[in-house]
Amino acid sequence: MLTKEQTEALLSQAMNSAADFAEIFEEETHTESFTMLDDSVEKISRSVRAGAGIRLYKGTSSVYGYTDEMDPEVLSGIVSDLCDAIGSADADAAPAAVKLEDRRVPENISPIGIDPFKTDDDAKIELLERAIRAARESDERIFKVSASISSVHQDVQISNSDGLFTGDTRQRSRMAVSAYAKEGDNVQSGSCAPGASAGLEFFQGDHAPEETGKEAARIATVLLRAKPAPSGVMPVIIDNGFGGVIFHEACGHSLEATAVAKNLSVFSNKLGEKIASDIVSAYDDGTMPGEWGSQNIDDEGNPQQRRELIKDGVLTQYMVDRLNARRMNTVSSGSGRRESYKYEPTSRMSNTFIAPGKDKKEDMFKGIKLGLYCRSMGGGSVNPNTGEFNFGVNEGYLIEDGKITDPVIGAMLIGSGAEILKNIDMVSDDVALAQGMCGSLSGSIPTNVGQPAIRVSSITVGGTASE
Amino acid sequence: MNKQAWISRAKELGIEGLEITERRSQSRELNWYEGEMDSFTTSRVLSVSLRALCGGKIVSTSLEKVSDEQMDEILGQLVSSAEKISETEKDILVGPAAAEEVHSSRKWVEPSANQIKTVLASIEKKLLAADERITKVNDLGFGGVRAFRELTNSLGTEISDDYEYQLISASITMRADGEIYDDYLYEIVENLDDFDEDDFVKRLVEKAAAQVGAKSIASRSCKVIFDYKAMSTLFSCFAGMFYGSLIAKGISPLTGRLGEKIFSDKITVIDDPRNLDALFMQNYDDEGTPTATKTVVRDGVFEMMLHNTKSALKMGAESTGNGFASGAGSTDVSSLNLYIQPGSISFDSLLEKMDNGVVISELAGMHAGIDFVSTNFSLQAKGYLVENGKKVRPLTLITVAGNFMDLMNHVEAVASDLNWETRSTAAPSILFEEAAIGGNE
Repeated sequence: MLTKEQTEALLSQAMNSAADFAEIFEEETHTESFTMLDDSVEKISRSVRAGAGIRLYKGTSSVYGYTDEMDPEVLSGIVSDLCDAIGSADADAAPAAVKLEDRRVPENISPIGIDPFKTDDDAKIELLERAIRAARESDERIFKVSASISSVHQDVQISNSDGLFTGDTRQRSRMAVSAYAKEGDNVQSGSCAPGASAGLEFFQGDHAPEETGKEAARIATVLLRAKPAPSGVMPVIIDNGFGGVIFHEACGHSLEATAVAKNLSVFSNKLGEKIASDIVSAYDDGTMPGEWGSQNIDDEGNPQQRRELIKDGVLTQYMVDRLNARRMNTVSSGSGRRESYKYEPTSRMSNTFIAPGKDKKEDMFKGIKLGLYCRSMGGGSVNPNTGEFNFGVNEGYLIEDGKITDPVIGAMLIGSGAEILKNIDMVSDDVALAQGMCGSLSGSIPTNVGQPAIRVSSITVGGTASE
Repeated sequence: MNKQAWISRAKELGIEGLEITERRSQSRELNWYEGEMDSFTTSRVLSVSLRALCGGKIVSTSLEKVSDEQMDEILGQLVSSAEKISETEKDILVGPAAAEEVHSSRKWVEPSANQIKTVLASIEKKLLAADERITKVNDLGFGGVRAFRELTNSLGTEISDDYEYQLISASITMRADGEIYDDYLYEIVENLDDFDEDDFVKRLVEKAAAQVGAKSIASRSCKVIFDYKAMSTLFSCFAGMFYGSLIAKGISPLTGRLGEKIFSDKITVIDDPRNLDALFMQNYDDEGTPTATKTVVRDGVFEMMLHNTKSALKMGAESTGNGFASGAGSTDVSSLNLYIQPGSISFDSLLEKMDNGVVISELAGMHAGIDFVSTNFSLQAKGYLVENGKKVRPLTLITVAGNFMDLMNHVEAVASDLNWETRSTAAPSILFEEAAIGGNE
């Protein structure tokens, strides 16, 4: 990492231009992953990413440069290019001299138990073997299982012309199992991929490799007997956990300052307005210890926060990064995140979820003549500009006369975010979170989605069944 | 790094062969918003990939921070990783191969920052003036990348090449009758002096305006055309079915089907990493094997799988030059410039042939709505309704669902409109007998 003096010199050089703010984000990230297919270890890969990103602002315009050549001369060359791009300082301005103050966050909210990078490879291979064995043994129609375990260790150092000099260590681990089931010509797959801001100690209890393996196998075998999903408009119950991807897509992205600040979001200028049904409250909370989307500080050096986005249906807060805070005349909400030094940070989600309601899950099915129960979801995407979103149903079932009946395959739910939030008519009392990788302007970052089970009174389902 | 020193030291440590690939890239991007420069990004990155052959197995790593002092530590870790790998299939490094090379005739001219600003400012003005329904111009930018690759291995292979590209892109938001519509366009720009701003503006505005009034429709099964953009997107989600690696694992839908008729006889599929119309081309893959033009599916019959060295050894075949970088320094099978051969009729004739049905022009939700193994798909789509061979009205918030293998066996006609643009998997517009459309009307 650059020393404090080197950093001060670069920031001072940067501020001797038209820039009114400068920032240096430096990182060294080690990753390793182990992959097994059935009985054999297929791949072990390790990589190192190390570099720095330097950013200058003038008002709301920003210039950014990044490199992995950490030679002070190369970095100074980049600063000089950035100064040229942003323009020169007023002739009568006093020369800038940035002084940094140590401001490291004292407490790590996600301490590591068993550090994968200090653990023998065999221990990680054994976890994979256990997952694969459990998946195979759970059903004889499982003919192939692949499993991987990946760990990331990221050290960051963030400094800026306001005098901030801070750093953080982030560690994450995740296991992913895919199971393939076959009956005649019908081949289906199921997967499960739990992860956390934790070390190998995470893989026990509910997250033991056996549970992950069995869950992947269960989904694959259920899908073997699934019928084509129907098409049309119907009530839908979306179960807790990864079901929260509906809120992430339908609403979360549209509450990021990236879209809000430039009035590109359907929710721009709607603070204090009712955007969801009364029974909906939602949070984006980057401070949950050990969770997949948590951080001690965001990637601009601000402490992470718990953000109340919606309270009883009313929009209360956006997720805001430093640059968009300038555009919106507000302050950062600690939401500036990025995949790596190769990306300029912007406002992003962390652990985003709908708060628990008062309904019991079993009551939610009552009175539905024909509907869809989504037990597990695939991913989705949204256009924040129009609010139009989609997400795939991984494991779905028909609801007929208030009862869960046949599993269905190939269902996709589509709609517009503004509309769907108002159509949530029941919310259960049991929230669960699930892990995902969220892709947007500043790259692919770990985020949790979550919710209790929710019932949407009507939504468009796209499937293949002929009428 | 001193590559020869690494190669000799690897040999001393019992590593049978070592391959070092250095990738150097430089990029520049300038974005414009509401009359001023919104952001400017410049970069310089050097990464090193190592692939070591130990005990017949290849292990790899990628490093952005490496010095010759770390030689023993890094090579030692590769050896110990190789010992843990229990897979029995062997792999090899590739020795020098003389191959005829093709080179793109594109002449990239790097514009000055001022010229970029002038052009972007002018595009923004023209877009806002072109149609009063346009409320916003965003993501208006110019980006350029130059990248160099240098591959060296212990068998004496030395390959160095580079690529370059420059693009202009823009998005607009249009408001009409209280509804919001948005659209985007990008264009490859060899020389900014020759860039036709007016044509770019006209095309983007037309594209967005065509959506005005778009609504959903009632769910139905009907004839469907995937236009060249949507068809390219859908086809790219299933390109992996031709990969020898996935076939060997038994998870490609084409496992065990080489030599069989898999698609309608109207479909021929070619993989051509040397295609000069495509934006990216390579004379050698990332394992040093010369690339080649291959007919993968001929008149519906699956003739050839794509291989890298490892999948080829596994299946008793030769590498087809399809071993491309797949993260963390490793390589895997991948197509490059895979396309469905265009037919002879125009897109308008395709519309006439369909008579009544739906044209799909844009797809979303690919990472959720595609099941690669069963080839079932269900995707969010935009498009338009066609009656009596004519476009009747635009459609939005609809879904299109089906089974890709089934669809490709019910092809009515293939149009002639293959367009590479920036794609590396492409297809012309295709008319299918039937697909399920979901809507809420």
